[in-house]
Amino acid sequence: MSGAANSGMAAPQQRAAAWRFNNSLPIAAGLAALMLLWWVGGVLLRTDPATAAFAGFAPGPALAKFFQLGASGDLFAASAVSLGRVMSGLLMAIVIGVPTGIAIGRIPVLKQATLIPFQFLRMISPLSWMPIAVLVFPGWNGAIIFLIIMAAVWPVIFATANGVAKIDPSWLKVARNLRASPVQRITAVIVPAIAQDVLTGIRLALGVAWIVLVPAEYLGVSSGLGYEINDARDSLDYARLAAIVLTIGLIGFTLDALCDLVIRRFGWKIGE
Amino acid sequence: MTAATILIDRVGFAYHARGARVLDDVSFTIAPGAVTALVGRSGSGKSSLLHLVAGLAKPVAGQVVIDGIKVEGPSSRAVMMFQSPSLYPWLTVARNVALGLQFAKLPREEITRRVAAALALVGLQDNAGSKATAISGGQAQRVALARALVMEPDVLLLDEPFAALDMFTRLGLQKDIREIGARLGITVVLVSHDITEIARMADRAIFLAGSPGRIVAETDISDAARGSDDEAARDEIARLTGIYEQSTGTAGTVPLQAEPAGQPAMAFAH
Repeated sequence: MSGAANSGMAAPQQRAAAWRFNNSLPIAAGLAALMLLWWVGGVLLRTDPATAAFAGFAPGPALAKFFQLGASGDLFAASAVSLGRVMSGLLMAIVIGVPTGIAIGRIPVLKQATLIPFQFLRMISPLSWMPIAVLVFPGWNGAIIFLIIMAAVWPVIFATANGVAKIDPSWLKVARNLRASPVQRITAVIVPAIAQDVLTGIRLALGVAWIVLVPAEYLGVSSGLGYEINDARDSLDYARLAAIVLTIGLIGFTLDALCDLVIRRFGWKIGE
Repeated sequence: MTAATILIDRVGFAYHARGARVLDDVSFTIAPGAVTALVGRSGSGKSSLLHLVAGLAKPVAGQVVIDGIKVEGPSSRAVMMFQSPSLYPWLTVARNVALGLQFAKLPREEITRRVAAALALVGLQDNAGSKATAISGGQAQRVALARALVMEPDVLLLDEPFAALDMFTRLGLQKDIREIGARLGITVVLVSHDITEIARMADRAIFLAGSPGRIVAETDISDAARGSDDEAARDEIARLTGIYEQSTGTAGTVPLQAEPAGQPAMAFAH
């Protein structure tokens, strides 16, 4: 192969490498800035006698505790319990939210009837349902899952209804023309047509659910990341507290990234 | 696929039970294997008539009968091609074509075989795996045609399927549909505003006008409209234009359109 041909082959690879480098740079800078901020905060805490007791929040002790808890398995045990609660609540929110959203999107009268009640309920902080949840559910676990459902169901309902409203009516007309049964119209047309919106709603719901989980686990239960934070605070173990906060952030980030991957894989866009 | 006779028997239609009628007392018969054009201004009920034949709407009076069987709902015997291809963007070309067969729960091998044959018929066998969003407008309309043909219909209903296409794509598709329809022996019903398109494709034109729409004229279309003699084709188009203008009271509203050499054209004002 000639040198010119070689250089022709290499040019796109070089451009791709340059593109990757240029895009990675701001990400690396952002992470470095966050770490720097954390480190400066730790130094300030340590050097001020009034806050020196909180020095465990600094990156050094926090990361050391993080790896220690990881190695002992305590972190995984607490995370698994919390993830179990979030996934149970999210699954229920999807089971309730998707059919409700489809019904609202397809039936104008239902949309009108639910508009004000749903917007009203949506604006109530999920945690304010706590006293009712404690009364209704025999155990704390059920109450926490209920709070997660109350937080996660609204993004799923509204995103689904929004997706249904955007369905091209001609897709349904073509399906009828091809003799699709009502069930086939839902499974072959409506569900894939709204998949992008539903997945986006689930992504939002997951974020909200994960945020609600920690304060929900402050009360009553003796397991989960929220409980661990409370316990670490009560035992003045700030390095452990920071390690758990770090874990919560990492899990939340990973779940969101996974959702993004699923949306990219199963979503579709006109013009792709 | 067998060519079917369509009987439109004193049909009346309204979008709502108490609404104004769009069609009233419309009766005619479409011969098997023929290409029949429904012609008229917007609102004359042409598309509604097509929806009635497809079973996508129900008449408020009269009946639509295909080969002696009253149309009660959508059936694989009469399949419609719409103005927009309305492909499902999350599916590939082949899976778009296969959808109707999947709805009918046919065996996988038969679906594969019929989809391949339908795509070959419209010249898109190499695009089977392409995303529906990654093909041109003309190719998308060909996929829509394959999606209709794969059902092996007796009647193909065309609701202005060329309206959004550029001129050369339109000409190619018109020619192909006429040829495919003749080869497969399908009865074709076409709704169009374009008199050149009607002359090029149809054996017969039925003119609708008024509100509610009624049949105001019918005529056979000479093969001269599709022949190589430009002058004879122009004469046939001029004759059809005259019938349209006379029957609908719209003299002078049919503008001349620019078409490629050998393709004289006129189109109705919408």
